[in-house]
Amino acid sequence: MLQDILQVDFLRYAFLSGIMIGIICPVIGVFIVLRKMSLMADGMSHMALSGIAAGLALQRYLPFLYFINPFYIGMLFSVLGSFCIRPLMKLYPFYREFVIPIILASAIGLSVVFISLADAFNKDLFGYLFGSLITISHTDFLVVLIVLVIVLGFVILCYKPLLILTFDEEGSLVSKRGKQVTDILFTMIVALVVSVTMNIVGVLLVSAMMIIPVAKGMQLAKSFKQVFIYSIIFAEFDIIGGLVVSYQFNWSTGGTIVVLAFVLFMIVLLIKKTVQSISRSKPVSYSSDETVKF
Amino acid sequence: MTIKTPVLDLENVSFSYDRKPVLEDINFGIEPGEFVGLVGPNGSGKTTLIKIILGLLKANHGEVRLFGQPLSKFKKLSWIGYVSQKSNSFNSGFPATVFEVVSMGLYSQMKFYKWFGKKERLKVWEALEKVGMEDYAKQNIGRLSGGQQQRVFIARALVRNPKLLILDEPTVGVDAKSENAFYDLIESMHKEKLAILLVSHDIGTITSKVDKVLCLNKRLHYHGDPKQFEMNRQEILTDAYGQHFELLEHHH
Ligand SMILES: Nc1ncnc2c1ncn2[C@@H]1O[C@H](COP(=O)(O)OP(=O)(O)OP(=O)(O)O)[C@@H](O)[C@H]1O
Ligand SMILES: [Mg+2]
Repeated sequence: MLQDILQVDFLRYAFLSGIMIGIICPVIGVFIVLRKMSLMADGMSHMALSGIAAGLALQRYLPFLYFINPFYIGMLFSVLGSFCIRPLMKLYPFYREFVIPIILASAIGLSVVFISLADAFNKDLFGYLFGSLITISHTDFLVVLIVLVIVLGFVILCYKPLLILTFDEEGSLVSKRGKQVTDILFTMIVALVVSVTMNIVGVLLVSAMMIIPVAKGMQLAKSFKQVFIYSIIFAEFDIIGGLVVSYQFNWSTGGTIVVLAFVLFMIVLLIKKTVQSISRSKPVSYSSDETVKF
Repeated sequence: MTIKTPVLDLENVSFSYDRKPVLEDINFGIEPGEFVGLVGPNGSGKTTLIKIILGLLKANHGEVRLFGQPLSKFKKLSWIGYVSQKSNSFNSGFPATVFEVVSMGLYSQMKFYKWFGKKERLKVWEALEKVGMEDYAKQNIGRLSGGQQQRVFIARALVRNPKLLILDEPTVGVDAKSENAFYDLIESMHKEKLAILLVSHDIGTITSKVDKVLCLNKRLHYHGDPKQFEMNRQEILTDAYGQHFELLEHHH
């Protein structure tokens, strides 16, 4: 296997991209989960799907545009979609989540129409939906690298406003401008991350990749910093493990990665429950000096 | 002697949600180091007024000046410490420690490239000590009681070393002992020449501690000296709260 990775180009790109995605997804996923936007990632990935479908249709009817990879049109749709979601959510500030099914359903509708136009209910489409190792090219790899740099740059530069806005929008006293800029940048970056992740695990499983590692990380972490660290470790494990297994057994890449992530999630929950029940059966010493001091 | 610029200055401020007027023609100021208590019945517009001062809402008429500058030009938000009414307005499942939460009070005044270093950590510890929560630094914020959370949020407001501290009903859900401790803390802050705007329903306590009382119900029904307020208390409260104000007031 290791030999293959070193020798076969697409495998090498798949692994390197996978390792980078294992950083990108949880780093952005932490903020997505904590800002209660998990469904938004799903909405965006479906927008991306409709973009890919549009790209496929375009290739069929305007063959001279062959050089435009449908994937990039997907990326474009995902970014545009994110800009529709935000104003719609503003219209219903207390029921933000119901905007998502509207976007989701419309995006699926659009995708199916474009796919039928492209006459593309075939194997290619399956790759886009559930991910495939063979689709990862040198360019794709470079795109992931660029997105990695953008994501890390953004999170490092905007860490402070991102964190306080996520924790407590009202009490944090961030200026309106700062808040808007951070929000818009964040949404665009989510769209970028969705599109690149899509290439490996497929449209339908993108949001799982952003959410499940973080869900595991939050179970174990004792502080905000630890959430990042644990989530990245889990994501790397899921992706690399999933890639290896899917290659060995010739299973669907995206499916294998997500199933592995889920199984591990169950194991984490189980371990946590066991540890808790063990520590509960021990006598606990309460500190008695609860002094009130202001 | 030079005339000090007031910390806060409101001139003819009016505000309505959609078409419903909530504040009408509000005029008052806070001097440096002044302790001002704001009272008024539920729904009288206290929280709304504070949100206007903080720039979270925009007044329909009139002008708000912070430290002599109109709100639109005021950039030093870090000079203000704010504890909101709903301490549970924060994301309560958030996996952050008490220490991390108090650190966030410093974030908005730090440049993005500034590293959170030793100096900053020290400030956080000091703020935690002031509110007596240093033993809880490593605890998850979601696992604290309401009163303890409230103290952490006060620490988050204090850590920025503000010049104006705005507290919206900070003692709700705090037991009597902690409430006394809280007022001791506020008084010591007051002695350090920190300007404070405190919203409370506890009229008795307020009037015994503050330099100035504001009694709000859409308009300012009283604005001035607490002794004067105490003397005409019945009239002012009937005026502001309506005939049945006693139902709303806590007795001590
Ligand atoms: N977001 C909002 N949209 C519309 N009206 C609002 C909104 N928030 C408050 N109001 C109305 O404005 C009025 C003043 O509300 P505000 O929250 O300022 O009162 P308050 O004095 O802080 O009351 P309390 O003592 O209960 O905290 C109330 O009548 C309320 O119904
Ligand atoms: Mg209020």
